[in-house]
Amino acid sequence: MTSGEKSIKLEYITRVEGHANVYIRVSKNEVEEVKMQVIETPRFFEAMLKGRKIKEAHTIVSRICGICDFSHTLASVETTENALSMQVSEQTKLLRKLVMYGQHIYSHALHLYLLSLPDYLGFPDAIKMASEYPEEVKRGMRLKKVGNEISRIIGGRATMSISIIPGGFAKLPSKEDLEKIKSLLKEGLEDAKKTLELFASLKPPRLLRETQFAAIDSKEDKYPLILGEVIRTSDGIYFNKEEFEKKYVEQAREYSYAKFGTIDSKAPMVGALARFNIHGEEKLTSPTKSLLKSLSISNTLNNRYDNNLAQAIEMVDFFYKAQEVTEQLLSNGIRQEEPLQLLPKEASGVGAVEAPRGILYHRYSFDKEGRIQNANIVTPTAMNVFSLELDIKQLLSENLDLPESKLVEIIEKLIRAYDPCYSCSAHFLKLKIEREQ
Amino acid sequence: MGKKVALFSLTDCQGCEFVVLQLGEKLLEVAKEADFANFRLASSRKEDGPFFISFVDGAVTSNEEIERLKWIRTNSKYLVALGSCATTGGVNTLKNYFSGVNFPKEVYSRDFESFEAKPISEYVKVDVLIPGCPINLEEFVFVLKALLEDRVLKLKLAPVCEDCKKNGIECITKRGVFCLGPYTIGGCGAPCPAAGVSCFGCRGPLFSPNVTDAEKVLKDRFMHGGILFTGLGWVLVKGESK
Repeated sequence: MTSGEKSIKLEYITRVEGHANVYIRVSKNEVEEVKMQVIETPRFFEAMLKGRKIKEAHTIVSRICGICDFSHTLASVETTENALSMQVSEQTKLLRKLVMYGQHIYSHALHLYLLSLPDYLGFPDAIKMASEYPEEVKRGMRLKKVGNEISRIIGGRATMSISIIPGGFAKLPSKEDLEKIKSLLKEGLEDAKKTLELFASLKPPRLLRETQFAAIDSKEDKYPLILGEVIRTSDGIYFNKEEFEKKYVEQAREYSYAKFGTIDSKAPMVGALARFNIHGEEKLTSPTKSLLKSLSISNTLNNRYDNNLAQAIEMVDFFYKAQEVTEQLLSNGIRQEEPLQLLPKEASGVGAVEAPRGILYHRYSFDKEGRIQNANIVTPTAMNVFSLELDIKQLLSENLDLPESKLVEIIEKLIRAYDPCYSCSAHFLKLKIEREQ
Repeated sequence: MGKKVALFSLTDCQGCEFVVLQLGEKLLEVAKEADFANFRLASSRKEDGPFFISFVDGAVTSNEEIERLKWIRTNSKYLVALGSCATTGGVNTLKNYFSGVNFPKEVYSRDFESFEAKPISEYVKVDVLIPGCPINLEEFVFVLKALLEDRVLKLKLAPVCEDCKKNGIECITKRGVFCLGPYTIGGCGAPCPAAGVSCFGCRGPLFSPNVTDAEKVLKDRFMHGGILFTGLGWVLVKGESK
């Protein structure tokens, strides 16, 4: 380090999934450089998929991530079905919708209560936090369990789904299973509402950099998580998911294992905040809308730290939406149908779903024997890396007069607000700040 | 204050640590005896050892990980391999089967260190194995409680079939579908057969298998449209389960 430079090191950022570092160089009154280094050990899933059979893909890709495993599974089966022009049943679509609401409820509860809330209440973790805030921690655990149970009942296991396969379900839930989900959702709803009240009452730091939000949209579903057809951005850009790789341009950087991407030359931001801002309040269920009104939460959330608030809003809304889907499944009655046959052919297809952290894109090409020739996977955390880097830069330049410990604190909070998942993006957090005195 | 317990992750998805968090409210009970002093996924404490127990999930794929693993071993009374990636190399070993493919180049368009994925027992002494992709939560709690009382457990070598029989799950092979259950270390509760899918051997093989012949037989089966080939990749890692 040259004389006159000061360095702040923040290494191994905790309470995020996976591993990343931040390297920051600051000269007198300016931020010289910010590098978001995702250094999670690369696992090469796209290359490992080469030569594997169609029916193995969803099982393998779910192992990319221990928290968005169901999202990877759902993106994978969609990709395969699109490639092979398979039309799954309405029942399959509804069950997948329901299990995706479960995945979001689980992931948001885990992130809000176990990873983020300790920041706001001043504890190193939820276990320590429980000494003073036992009710909050227990509430978070109960909500997480609702999501886990939905996953277990429909997917066969709470982590790493088993029964969700291309073409449908290897095993279908019973009426009793759906009744169980119905009662879990009913019991958990009050907890979800209290979560929104709690996160609406927090006073997060502020960061108002203009960014380009991106989310999946659909003609049929107002706030789609699966089965969307298009990607929409807050800048009015609109394209079919089949065009994703043309519109989302990735670049490898020598300091990071995650690739940096842009849409229309701008860093996109995806996730709960992006979804909420793009779809708007009117796409939420009416009870959620009334709740937002009573809490005076605005229709557009500009503060980046409000990603947590957006997650809390979504959690309530997904409880209502999951209830609707469960009711529909119960009134239809579960039909004992076999999954569609996989008929290999030379083909390629894409799939895009909204994982809790944002857009998750898969593309596979198969040969005529049904082996994967090529695969590409773009994860939400990778999509957010560039935007996060720019946000840290802005946050630093607005707060250079803050003492170092406070700086580290707000940067950590920002990173956690993004809810990054570095296993997914490929990839560990060390924050290193070099500063000239 | 309980005994110091740590959870570390190497190359993996951290799914097994998320399974530990599924303890939910029980985590607060467990935390009375186990002081989670270093659990990066869930806590900012990041304390140094010595640890009474360290759980390590993930496979080893870099020199940095070997160094970290050795530090963990030196600073832990008991070291537990948590999950298939740590016990066998897990899904990461799929890349070991492609000789001549430059994985960094393939995915990231550049070169850097990444060698064959290996289980942690290749580099350090492991006291207890908890296999599974992901682990079974009951097994984790069972091992944690035993080790806190200084009891070291040995993995029971019974096939997954035993789990199926115990739980009244109909045998997958009766449907004419190949299943790796008879060859795979059980104790998982057989969630895959229970969900209508054949076992793909995530917990590792029961005995050191004859890899060459097994590959032939399984591949043949596979070509005739039977099994999840994944099992071979996951099970027959160098023909060893340590």
